[in-house]
Amino acid sequence: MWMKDKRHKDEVESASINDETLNRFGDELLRAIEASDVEINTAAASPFLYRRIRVRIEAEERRLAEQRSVWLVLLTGAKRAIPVMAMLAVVAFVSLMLMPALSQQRQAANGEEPPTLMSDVFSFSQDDLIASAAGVEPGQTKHGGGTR
Amino acid sequence: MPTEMPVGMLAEMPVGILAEMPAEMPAEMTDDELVAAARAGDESAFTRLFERHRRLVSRLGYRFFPRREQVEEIIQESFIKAYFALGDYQGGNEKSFVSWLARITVRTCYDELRRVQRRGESSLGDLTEEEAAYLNERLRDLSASGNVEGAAISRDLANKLLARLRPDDRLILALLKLEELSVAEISNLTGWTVAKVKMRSHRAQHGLRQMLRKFL
Repeated sequence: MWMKDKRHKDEVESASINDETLNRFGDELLRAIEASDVEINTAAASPFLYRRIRVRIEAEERRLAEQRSVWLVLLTGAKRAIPVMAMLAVVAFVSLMLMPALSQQRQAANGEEPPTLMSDVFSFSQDDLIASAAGVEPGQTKHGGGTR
Repeated sequence: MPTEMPVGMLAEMPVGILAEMPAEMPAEMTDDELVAAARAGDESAFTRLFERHRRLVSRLGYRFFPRREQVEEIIQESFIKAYFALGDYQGGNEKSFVSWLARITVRTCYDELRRVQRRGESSLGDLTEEEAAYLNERLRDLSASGNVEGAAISRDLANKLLARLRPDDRLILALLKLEELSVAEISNLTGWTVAKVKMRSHRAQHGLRQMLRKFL
């Protein structure tokens, strides 16, 4: 009971500190963290501070330069590879175009009939196709040739 | 050739990033001229830019990070990013370079805040029982007196508390309350839209209140 009363009293007290007062207390809090001019100057004039900055800048510049050189090597390689690749592509394309014509010419010179691609596949007779669809070997009848 | 303004002179300058612009000596090159020279490969021009503006970066770094080594890291990171982004810099007016460098620094700080939170790094650790009790007492005093100015919060405690906020909340609060920047200026620095900055600033203040209420 006593505890309950105390808690209630605390709640009333805390509610009594209005937002305005808390804001002002917050401002005081922020002002309390302000550094003195001496501290500010000491940090700004810290020995070797600029030297450390220069060292880090140089290290970063070196890293960027290395990165750039890797890209340059890759780009130079690509630049050299492009004409070679293009030439190879042209040669491949031309030979693809010329090959059938040359082979036809050669066969005509030998007096041969030009081969038809997949000729054995497309040389089925109609009977063969029907037999194949019925699941019978070509040249055989389904029930022993239909004789009793 | 002096590299920095005297501390006393800087202390008299108004708060705000743009107030960091050092007084130009008549014979000195402008920032835009130095950037042009640095782009052309003049190392000393970048050195001069560093000397001229390192204090601005250091001050911004301290808005978010309490330790000197963290701030030095922010200075290094910001100037390295600036160096490699010199090609993108478009000058034009007197304070262009300061705004541009401040933008780089704020984004670097934001990235670092997020990295720290993601990794769960907190060099400061959680609040001790004494600190929590102290905070509770202070907040209760506030409810009675309403005198915030006498809150006397230590820097360490304030850092521990603010480290509990989300990085974007912390960023907005620091720019809004410490740098005293307008919503439009924050939008320019962070690259967020004005509506987003307004929404986040509202949420950040709510988050801060919620965090403080937890100690009551």
